[in-house]
Amino acid sequence: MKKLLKTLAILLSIAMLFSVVGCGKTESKPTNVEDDDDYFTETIESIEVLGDSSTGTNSNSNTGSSGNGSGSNTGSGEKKWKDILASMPSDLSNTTIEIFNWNPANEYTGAPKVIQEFTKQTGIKVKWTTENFDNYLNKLASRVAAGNSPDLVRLRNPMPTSLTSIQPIDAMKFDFSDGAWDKWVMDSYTFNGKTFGVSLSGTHISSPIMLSYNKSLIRKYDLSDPYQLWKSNKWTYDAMINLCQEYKKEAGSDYAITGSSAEIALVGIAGTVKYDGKKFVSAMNDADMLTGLQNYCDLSNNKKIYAPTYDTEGFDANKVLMFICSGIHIRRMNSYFQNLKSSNSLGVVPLPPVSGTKNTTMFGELEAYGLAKGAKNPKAAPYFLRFFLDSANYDTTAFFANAQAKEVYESLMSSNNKVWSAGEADHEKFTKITDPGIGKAIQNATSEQAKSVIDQIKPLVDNRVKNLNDILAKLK
Amino acid sequence: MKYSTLKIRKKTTEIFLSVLRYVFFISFSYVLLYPFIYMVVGAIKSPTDIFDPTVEWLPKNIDFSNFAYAVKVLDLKNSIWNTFYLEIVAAILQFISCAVAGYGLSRFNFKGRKIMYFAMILNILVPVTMIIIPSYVNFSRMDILGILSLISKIVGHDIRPSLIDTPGVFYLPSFLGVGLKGGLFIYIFSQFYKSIPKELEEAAWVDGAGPIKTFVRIVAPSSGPAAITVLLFSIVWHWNDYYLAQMYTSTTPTISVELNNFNLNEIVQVLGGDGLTQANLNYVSITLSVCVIFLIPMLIFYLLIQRKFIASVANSGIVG
Repeated sequence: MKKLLKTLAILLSIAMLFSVVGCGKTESKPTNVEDDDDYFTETIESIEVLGDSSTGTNSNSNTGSSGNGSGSNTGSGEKKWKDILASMPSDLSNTTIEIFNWNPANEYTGAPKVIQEFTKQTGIKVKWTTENFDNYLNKLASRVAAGNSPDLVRLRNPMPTSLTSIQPIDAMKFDFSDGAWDKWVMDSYTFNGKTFGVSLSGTHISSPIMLSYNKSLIRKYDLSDPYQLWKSNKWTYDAMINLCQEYKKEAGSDYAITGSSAEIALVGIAGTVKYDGKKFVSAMNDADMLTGLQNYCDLSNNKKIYAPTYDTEGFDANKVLMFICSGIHIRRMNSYFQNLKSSNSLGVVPLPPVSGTKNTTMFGELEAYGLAKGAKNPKAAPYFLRFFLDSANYDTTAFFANAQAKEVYESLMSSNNKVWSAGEADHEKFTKITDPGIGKAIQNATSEQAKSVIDQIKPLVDNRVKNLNDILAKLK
Repeated sequence: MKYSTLKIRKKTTEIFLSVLRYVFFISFSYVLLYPFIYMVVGAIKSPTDIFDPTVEWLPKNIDFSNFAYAVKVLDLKNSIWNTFYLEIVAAILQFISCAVAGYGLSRFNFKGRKIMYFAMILNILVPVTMIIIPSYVNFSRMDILGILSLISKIVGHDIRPSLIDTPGVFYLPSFLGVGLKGGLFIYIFSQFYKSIPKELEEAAWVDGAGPIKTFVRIVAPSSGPAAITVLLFSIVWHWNDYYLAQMYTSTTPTISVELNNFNLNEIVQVLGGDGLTQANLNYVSITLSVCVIFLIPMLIFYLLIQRKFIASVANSGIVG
């Protein structure tokens, strides 16, 4: 009996051992990885920037903040900062405004000094509170419920789920009609006739989708430089495909492009869900959805140019030619692509439009700032944003990884045809609604199977639309 | 079959089984220890070793500077201090209060005992995330039976204190036995006390000892195994607690919060003044050093009490 028990114990342990070993990673297929959580996790700290002193620990890390601090404006219809400052109510001086963000202020190069300058010019003290991205909405909801709301809240996307603790900007009692404010962003954040988010036109703190590439690989395999093609108006969808196929042949690589958002950005569709101004609707029946998915499947599974892996390290290690990125990735002080940035091998170009479509600037994330419910100092908020988001107050050369990145970013931001993808997989932890995501459904589908994929995920999208509209109805 | 042949056969089988056992346990240990060894070895690798594919387990150049960077990025002095005076003190308070609560539930029949028992089970079953918002609201305007609200209405301004960002938000629930995993600890103690013979306490009662004296003098000293288990788990779970620390504090991050929020941006921003840039930063080794530093205190603590702990786990039946 004892021997039998011993034998059974050993067999059980062996079974456990094999099951543990079996949990190892296999690299046979690329997996669709969601956004890199690490970028958004930050230390909780409240940095009180008072006058010229800063209690933050990171004041040495900023390089180049030689913005003129005057918030000078360009473009017609924009009020100058000095006029705005002159019209600021005097009782706002010596008040404090709290900014609730998932990153510290020095996420943006030069931002702490800009904040100090703002305090110096206006007398409004700034308290920057950083909250971990995973707990962001929970903590905000808790603080609002407890009557301890911050003032300004950074918003990731105009999704109703992330606006439940946000009040309309009417409470700011400010005239947003001048040309400095980004009307398109404000419209995107307008629900039930109320606007919940604001941003500044041409701000450098935005994240349009673009294509980054490895210049050293271009040189190594003697390929056409995408940036040169773009400058000479030859950067087309077909040119991109040809370049990728050439790279694959020369390098013997499995694929040429990686990154996220390809199922919307690369093939010109705006995603599974869209907002028609009144409610969210499914985009699955749209004419361009089928052609878009067919193009995507063609790129991914027929031609095998694109792999839906968020392989930032592989791209940085010269293993992949291109990466679909956003404005966040091309900033200088950022954890992404550090090797390429330091060796000046990071190239950036806009995504070429699919043949027959027009140039569009796509946004997978459309950041803005909103006013928390119960904010204690709402009137100071627009003055802070007007100054903080103004790229004229920053040394944007130091902000972006290189001049090319800056040029492409500014070109994309100046586009009159911008699209935010409401169907892009917004971070589940942020929206609390499971996104069906196209990526997983069509991971191995060929272009001929695209139609059946659409039929497969339609019910999931319909469910998501229903959830979004339910929450939308509660927004006031 | 001859006796000697049988003996040889038996011996061979024993040796074979013994070898098999050793092979199995060594392999199993390797699987379990692999992440830890990887972490420790990675923490002492130099930047060149990290990217050298020929270097796996034995670094060519050992570099302890990663630990210095990790200490700086974690703000170790402050975060350790915050962890001790917030979480560890709360862990010890929890241990004491749960012992007392467990004794009360196990030994005394009083009105509402079943409700208390049910509340204890609820404490085990209901995840903290489900009640975090009302908890936060509760602690931000702390009131006792509505008395302070009444007084606030009389005097005209809110006198309810906010415990958020103070040690009170950790100490108060622990003191009342409803802190982190409090229900579970009360359950462990109550089950253990049921196994203690009542005659011991009756003897104390006969000698004139009251319930408190009986508990302090008789029951508590006898509850070694359960006490060690609860103390160990309480301290470890409070040490690892990230969610409550993050929700209830913002100016006093504990070490688990610092660890969880650790990323490359943080390293670059904190260490940028040391001449480190993204290009020359040994991100991998610094990350692993951070993990090693986080583990060391609990490892030392466990090594000190491991013998007693193993015995007490066997007695109490708690795992995980």
